[in-house]
Amino acid sequence: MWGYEKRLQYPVNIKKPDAKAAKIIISQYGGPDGELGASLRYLSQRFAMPDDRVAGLLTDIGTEELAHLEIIGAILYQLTGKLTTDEIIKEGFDTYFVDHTVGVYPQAASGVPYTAAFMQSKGDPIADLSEDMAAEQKARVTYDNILRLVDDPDIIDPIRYLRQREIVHYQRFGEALGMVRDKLNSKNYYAYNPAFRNR
Amino acid sequence: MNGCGKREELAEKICEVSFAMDELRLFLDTHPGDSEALEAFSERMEKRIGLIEEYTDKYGSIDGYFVKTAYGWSWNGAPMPWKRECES
Repeated sequence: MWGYEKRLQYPVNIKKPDAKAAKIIISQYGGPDGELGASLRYLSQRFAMPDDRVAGLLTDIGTEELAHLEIIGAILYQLTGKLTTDEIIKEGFDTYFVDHTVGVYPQAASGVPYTAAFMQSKGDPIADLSEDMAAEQKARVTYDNILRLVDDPDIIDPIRYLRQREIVHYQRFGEALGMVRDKLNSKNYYAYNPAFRNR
Repeated sequence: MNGCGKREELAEKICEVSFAMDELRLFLDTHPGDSEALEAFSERMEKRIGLIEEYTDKYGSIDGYFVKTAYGWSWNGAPMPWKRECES
């Protein structure tokens, strides 16, 4: 069960519409290392996680990623909501506009729609937590790249916040991997899958 | 909305204390015995309850299970979190 709080986890207050920035930031909405994929990855993986403490962590981080999806949605809304048709053409937003007007649609910056092929849920704690650590690093790199491409301080501020969260999540997943390893056979901890043994 | 600046100020306080709790929650998930973190979480929880109560009284609901109905239905109206209600 989820509840909704009518607030953003971190404030977004962008004064200047900017279609070019929206075109790249949309990748963190529905792109390969975006917040939607992150949330679905963790919230799906947790069912096969034998350690309840780690399943709980996946629930909490998966939930926070939904809040991040909302932050990215707010950024896209504020960047594109007041664009004029001239700006849409001039800033190359016309190819998006023709399909979605200025609605928020989960896709990568390249235009590829969100697909679950961006993520895995392998049903093996070591494999899944290793993927999660990599996913946090990839998302951090995407935010680094966004920071190289935008110069409006109103955009930079929430993007920096989201980047920092990736680093914290990476740290927590590393600790969770340690918790899973501690429970396995220390001599050969990847010899079997603790989520599917003796079957 | 009237008192937009004051509403934003209170919303920001809720945002800050909630974020501290979000961060502490993840930390406690992997460090459940850390007494300093446990205490920090509990302190902020009390502060947050008071702030949410004050906000709900003055400006309407943040939490769909905690809606004050004395003046009607305040849940699905303004301000929506992704809009810049105070400037435009």
